Amino acid sequence: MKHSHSAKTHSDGLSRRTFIKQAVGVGAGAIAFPHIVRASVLGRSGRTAPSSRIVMGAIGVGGQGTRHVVGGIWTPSGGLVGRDDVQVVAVCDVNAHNRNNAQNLVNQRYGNKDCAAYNDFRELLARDDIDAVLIATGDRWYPVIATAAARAGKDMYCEKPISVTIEEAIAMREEMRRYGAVFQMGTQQRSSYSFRFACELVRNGYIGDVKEVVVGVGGPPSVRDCRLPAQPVPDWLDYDMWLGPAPWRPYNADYVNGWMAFRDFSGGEMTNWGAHHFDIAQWGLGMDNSGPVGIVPPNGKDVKVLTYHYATGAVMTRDPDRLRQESGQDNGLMFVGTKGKVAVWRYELKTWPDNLSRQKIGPNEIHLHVADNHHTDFLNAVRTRSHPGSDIAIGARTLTVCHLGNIAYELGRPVRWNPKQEHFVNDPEADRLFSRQMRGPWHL
Amino acid sequence: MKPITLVGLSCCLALGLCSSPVLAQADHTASLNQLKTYHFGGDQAVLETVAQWVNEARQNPDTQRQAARELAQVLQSDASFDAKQWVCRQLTLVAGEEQVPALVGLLHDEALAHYALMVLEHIPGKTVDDALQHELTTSTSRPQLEIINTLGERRDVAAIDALAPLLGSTDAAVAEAAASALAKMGDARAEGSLRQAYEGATGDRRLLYGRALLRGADRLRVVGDAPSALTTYELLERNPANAELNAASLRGMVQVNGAKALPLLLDALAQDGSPVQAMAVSLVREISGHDVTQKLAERLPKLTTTGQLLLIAALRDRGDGMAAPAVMGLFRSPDANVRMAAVDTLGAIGDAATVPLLLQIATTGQGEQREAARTSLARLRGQAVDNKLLSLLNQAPPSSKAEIISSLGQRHVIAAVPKLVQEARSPQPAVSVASWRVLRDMGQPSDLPTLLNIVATKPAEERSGVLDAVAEIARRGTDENQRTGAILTQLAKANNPALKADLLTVLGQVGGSRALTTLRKSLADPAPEVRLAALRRVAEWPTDEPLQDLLRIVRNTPDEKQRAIALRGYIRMIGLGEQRSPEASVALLQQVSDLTKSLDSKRLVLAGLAHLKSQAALDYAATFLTDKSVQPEAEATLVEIGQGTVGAWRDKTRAALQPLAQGATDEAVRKRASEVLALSDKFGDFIMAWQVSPAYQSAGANWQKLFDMPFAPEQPEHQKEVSWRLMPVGTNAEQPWLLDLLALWGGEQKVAYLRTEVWSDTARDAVLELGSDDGVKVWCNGQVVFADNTQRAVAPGQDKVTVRLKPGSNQLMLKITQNVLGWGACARFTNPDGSAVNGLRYTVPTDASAAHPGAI
Repeated sequence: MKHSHSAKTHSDGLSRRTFIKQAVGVGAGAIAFPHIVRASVLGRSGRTAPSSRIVMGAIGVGGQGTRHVVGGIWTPSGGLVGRDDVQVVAVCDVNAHNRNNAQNLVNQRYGNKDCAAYNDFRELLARDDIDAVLIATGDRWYPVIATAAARAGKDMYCEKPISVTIEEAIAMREEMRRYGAVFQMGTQQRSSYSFRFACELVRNGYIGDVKEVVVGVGGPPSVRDCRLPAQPVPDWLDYDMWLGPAPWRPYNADYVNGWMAFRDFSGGEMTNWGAHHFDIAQWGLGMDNSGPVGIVPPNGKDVKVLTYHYATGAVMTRDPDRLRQESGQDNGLMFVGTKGKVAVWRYELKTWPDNLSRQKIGPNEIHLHVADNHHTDFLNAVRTRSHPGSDIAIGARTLTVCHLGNIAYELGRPVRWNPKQEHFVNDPEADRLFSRQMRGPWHL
Repeated sequence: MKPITLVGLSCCLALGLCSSPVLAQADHTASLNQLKTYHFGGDQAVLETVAQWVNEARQNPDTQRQAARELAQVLQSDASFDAKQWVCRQLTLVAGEEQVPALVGLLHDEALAHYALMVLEHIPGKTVDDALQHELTTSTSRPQLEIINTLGERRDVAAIDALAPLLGSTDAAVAEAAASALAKMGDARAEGSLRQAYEGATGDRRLLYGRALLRGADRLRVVGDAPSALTTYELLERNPANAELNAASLRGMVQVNGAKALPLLLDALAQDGSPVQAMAVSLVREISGHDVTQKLAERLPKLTTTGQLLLIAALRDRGDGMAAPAVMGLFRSPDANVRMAAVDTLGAIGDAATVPLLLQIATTGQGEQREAARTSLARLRGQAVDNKLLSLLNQAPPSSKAEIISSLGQRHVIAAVPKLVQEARSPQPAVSVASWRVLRDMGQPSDLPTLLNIVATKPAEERSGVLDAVAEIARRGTDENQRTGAILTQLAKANNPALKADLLTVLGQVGGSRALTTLRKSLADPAPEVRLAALRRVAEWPTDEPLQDLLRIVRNTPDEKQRAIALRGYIRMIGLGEQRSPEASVALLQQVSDLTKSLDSKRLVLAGLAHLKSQAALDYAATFLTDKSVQPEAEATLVEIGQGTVGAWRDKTRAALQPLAQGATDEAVRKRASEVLALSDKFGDFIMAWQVSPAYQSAGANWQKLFDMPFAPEQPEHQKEVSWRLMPVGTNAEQPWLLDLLALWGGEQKVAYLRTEVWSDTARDAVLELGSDDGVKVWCNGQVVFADNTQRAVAPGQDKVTVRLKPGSNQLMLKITQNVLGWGACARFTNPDGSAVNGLRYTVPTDASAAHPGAI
């Protein structure tokens, strides 16, 4: 039993004003017996001078891109325009509806008409006054736009999943390093305390040696092929630019509205949620600069779920059902060690034993990259020229894990992977899925 | 961790590779013919059949070759685009050199060339290279670009002579593709052609070639030709096309020369605001070695403020303590940002030697810098830091002592606890307070006897700050004896009423049965302040166990203050009894009605009533309307109750609220009453009198599985365990008929039950029109009459179920599952012909109430 009441005394009275305000639901919920509410502590004050703001453009302003700009679910509160250290000066989209909407929203928030709008990302990247870009166009486009941005001297916050092949992810990493561009992948779970703490518990041995990681990534094992019937291309869409490097086929609205489900544009749930949860698994396993050595797809016999083997002996499975059975949630992941378990999802954490969740990580233990806002983490890196929490090197490794799973599914057999050399082990067939030629004129 | 033994994986690999394929080759010829006329949107079975055939053919080299051969024949036929693109996809894994002619035949097709090249890219051998080089000369437009790209991807050095002339193409896209392809070769000759083009170009072309040149040099470096790479880097550094290329060339030179390139980096660090400075700061993090750190540290004080800030951040990321003295030197910087960055960075790279300086800033510094020093003290790595802090504790002045103690707490140095227990006695308030604050987090129940002795010796005015710490430590006990034993022992020894009162306060915070027993006993203590302390803790007890104790005090105490405290606690506890019906709760409130003459007391009773959604609560609240002293509060309470009862007792509630909508004292109350009345007008013939069960979950069961799992409401032997409560209605003005379970219970992968009593004036068939989000199962008089394990958004009339109603009372129960997002239901009866049904009334069930006092 634990009392939550303070030893301090409080007023025994109840004013009429308070009573009625609460009773009619104007206040904080229905009428309540008096209780003590702690005021929240606000963040640091102080405005950034306009000359010190980081000037940004946004390429790809559909749902997620617009949320990054003006705020919304899955993005830091208030968006980029809500920050006093950022000035958004341009948006770009091949969808005129999205482009105009985002431009209007930015102008409304700033109270001016300064935001420019482009159909072609190359025009936006050509602007010398832009320091950094947000890229939220979809997987097929990220390698081309991100590398072009790096060559143009821009830093970038790029949504996940960052590529449709392993080769593209590696090429992006090389180009970012070549030009010294700061790259933050949109895996914001790296800027969440609970995910970081879960990984610190694992990395510091609080659950013993890691034997398993159970990853809750749902969805079907395969990605849909593009087989939809042709429809007229709407006049508000530049369809050729929408396709970009992806193979051409006749327009169908479902591609545009749900590209993530289709093979030519994305890796499906394996790369969508996989980019988040496999990413945290790699973090907890200390594999940010490495990866699995063997990937085994389900075979209907002894292997029930997609299984990754690491050289450390750890085994990672894609098994949302087991995760739900053992943790009560199926969209997250769970580390299983010789002495305990840690399950984590947005943004809660569960440990076995229970008191692990209250463990303090001491100064002499492993501390992972600290960030509590993915935008802020990116902008700090821009200023200090450091690597943000979801740096491209980490992102490329994470997407490699996702793609390896899809490749094993597609081949229907196990594959061996050399994480140091970043290629398959004596597997010419798997090599054919390592890369995919882009549609011209696009290339890396 | 042990190194992996790949036995398990090897077995899996072996299983996969050696499994014997069973080829379903029989009818693939017909499928291939059928495929030729396939168009997107048509029957996809043919696609699946072909894919399956190819997949099975892959298991055997002979069948794979044959499959590739037959697929290629489709490419050479007059098959549709839709068919040929599908065939190319199937060829990705199985095509060999034999299929090159068929694939090359597509290269002049603007739409299909890319599909062919996606296959050709991966076919090993010179046949492809030769064919692509040949096609390069005859192709144009997009396919030509794609062929160039493919030659680059294949690293076909034999294509250099064909590609190099294209650098001069008037078509910038062609030149750019050729430059990129040459860069990928990793060949000095290709690099030479790019270098030549670069040196002879200006403007955009020069930049285009420069970028390719840089990439080519990187490739040369990777394949082991560092001298050629360095030649390019030096060219780009000496004569850059733009600042970004200049910066990138610096990186190349550092990659080749390592630490030898440090002078270049140091020079670049001084070029404020330039891309080369940004690159240098990035590279500083990548070159390892103490000697490098040493040289960077030497340069640090010579840089501008901008350079210093960037380099400090980089040194922090290097994590090399070698730089700590130089960073410490920046504490004298005139720039506040530099000083701040130095303090922050020392936490990452400092050691025990850094402690005195950080401690000094933490003790005497100001604002953010002081906080940064404290944070850095907490972050410094090493046991030696802990030891240093402990050693300093013995000799430090009180002001520093408090900081040291806080740091030990931040660092969670458990070894410091005995020392902190000593310091808790300190006559210096800052030291004592800091010790208690840390002990609150690190102290153990075994420390409690000593700590309670200290508490007992403290003057009353100094005790308040330490009582919370004692309670927190006590709560960490693993059993009740550990939690309260030492406190009870100290209490037994205490003869000072003020101390006893404080100990009772702690006891109340810790909780437990022995604590409650002691508190109850203390309600009769001869000392008034002890009685008052006990009463406060009893009134705030987290369960309703001492409800009757409080009622006795409300009835019997002559002390108005004590009566007010007891009454507040009594009313609060009425709300805590989840198993208590609203009627029983109203009855408990009525028990104190004669004793609540004061204004505050009446308001408290009304506040308690507002939580109780029942007819009795409406009736009782209405009796206060004539009391002018609390008329506005009574009106507000009636509206609050009415919001909850308007579904179950529509007429009665409306009768109570209608006068308030017109004549309530407060405008907000009038408005809310009007809103509730307006909403109830929209209920129409939907059933709104429902009780709802708790939400149920089961580990590992999703919404589909939950649908068929029986929970207590559908298990007769467990029905009495169900805490039914009145279902809130009218929570969504847009969907007034919605029974919103998401708003009530929230969450995902759950299930809940709704029940109502349908009174029919005659036996009849009626159609139950249902809507649900997600699945729904229906019982009528104990029999399942409908079940649909689905997921969907709710809308009226999604299902129509004919139900046989008997005359009189009929029991209707719904089970609603929840996947994600929305969760709710709606229901109404119609006649079989769809017309409105007369002769039905709906009430919340009362049968279970009689059998089970927990239900309404």
